[in-house]
Amino acid sequence: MTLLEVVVSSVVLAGSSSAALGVWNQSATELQRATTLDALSLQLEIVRISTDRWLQSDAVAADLLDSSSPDCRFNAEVLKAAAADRLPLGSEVSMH
Amino acid sequence: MNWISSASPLWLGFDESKEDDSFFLNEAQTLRGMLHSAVMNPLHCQFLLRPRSQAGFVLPLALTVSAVLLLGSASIHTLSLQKRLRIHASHHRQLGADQLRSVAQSFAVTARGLEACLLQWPSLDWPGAALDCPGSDPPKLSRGVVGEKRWSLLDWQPSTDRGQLKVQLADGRTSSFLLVLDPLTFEVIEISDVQLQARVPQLEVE
Repeated sequence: MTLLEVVVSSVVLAGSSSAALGVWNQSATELQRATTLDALSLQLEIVRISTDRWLQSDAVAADLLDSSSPDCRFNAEVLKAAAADRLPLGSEVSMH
Repeated sequence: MNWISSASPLWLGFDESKEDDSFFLNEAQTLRGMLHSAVMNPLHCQFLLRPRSQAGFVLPLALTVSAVLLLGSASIHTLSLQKRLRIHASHHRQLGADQLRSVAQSFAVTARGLEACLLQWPSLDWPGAALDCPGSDPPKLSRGVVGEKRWSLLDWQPSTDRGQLKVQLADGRTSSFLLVLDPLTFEVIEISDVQLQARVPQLEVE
């Protein structure tokens, strides 16, 4: 074992450790973001299903409908307010 | 025997059993100038004291550890990319399913009033059935726009009080729905959940 060998080994180890640390940090960030997106997607699906069931149930009042529409359409503003009041919308989900 | 004489067989290659202490002491003192400060430096001395069988083991060990680190990090990176691709594909699939649900809702809204009469016949028979449904417009049920996406009707097959709707978006995504019809007015009163199908080549939507 020579001093040159020790220096080269140290450089190789430092470089590979630094690269591995960077990749692990990036992977951890990606995994965290993917998990967040997964949870958000699940939350959106829950909101969609609950909205569908709510609109098909008898609990929907007639005042949600647009009285001026001849083909029984919903009043968008009233429907949005009622959905925000009754559906389990999380803080990360908003209606447009 | 001092430390130089005890170490001498390792770095001078002499057999200690054949030489006495004074010989090694003299030899070491003679070679002190040639070895410079390395002989007197404890750190360098430790390197010199190792047997030749252990010489050069640090670099292969470092290369091995580096390879393990890089391979491990590459594996973890691959796993994270796979998870990201899976999430992206899932999001894309849900977005397409949502757009196809909107298409089915749009079809159901359009198929009201005069156009509801057409739902009694398969879509292939609509040009001829338009005579039996005065005021109906078959092209209104054959294509449309939801949001910024154009859609087209692939097939409509009615049965007694329901029908199978097959629609396609402009990008080729296809889905079928089971629609429940009002037996008196033939208007759509219920739409089943989306049944995604394999993407087919994009049809020309005029």
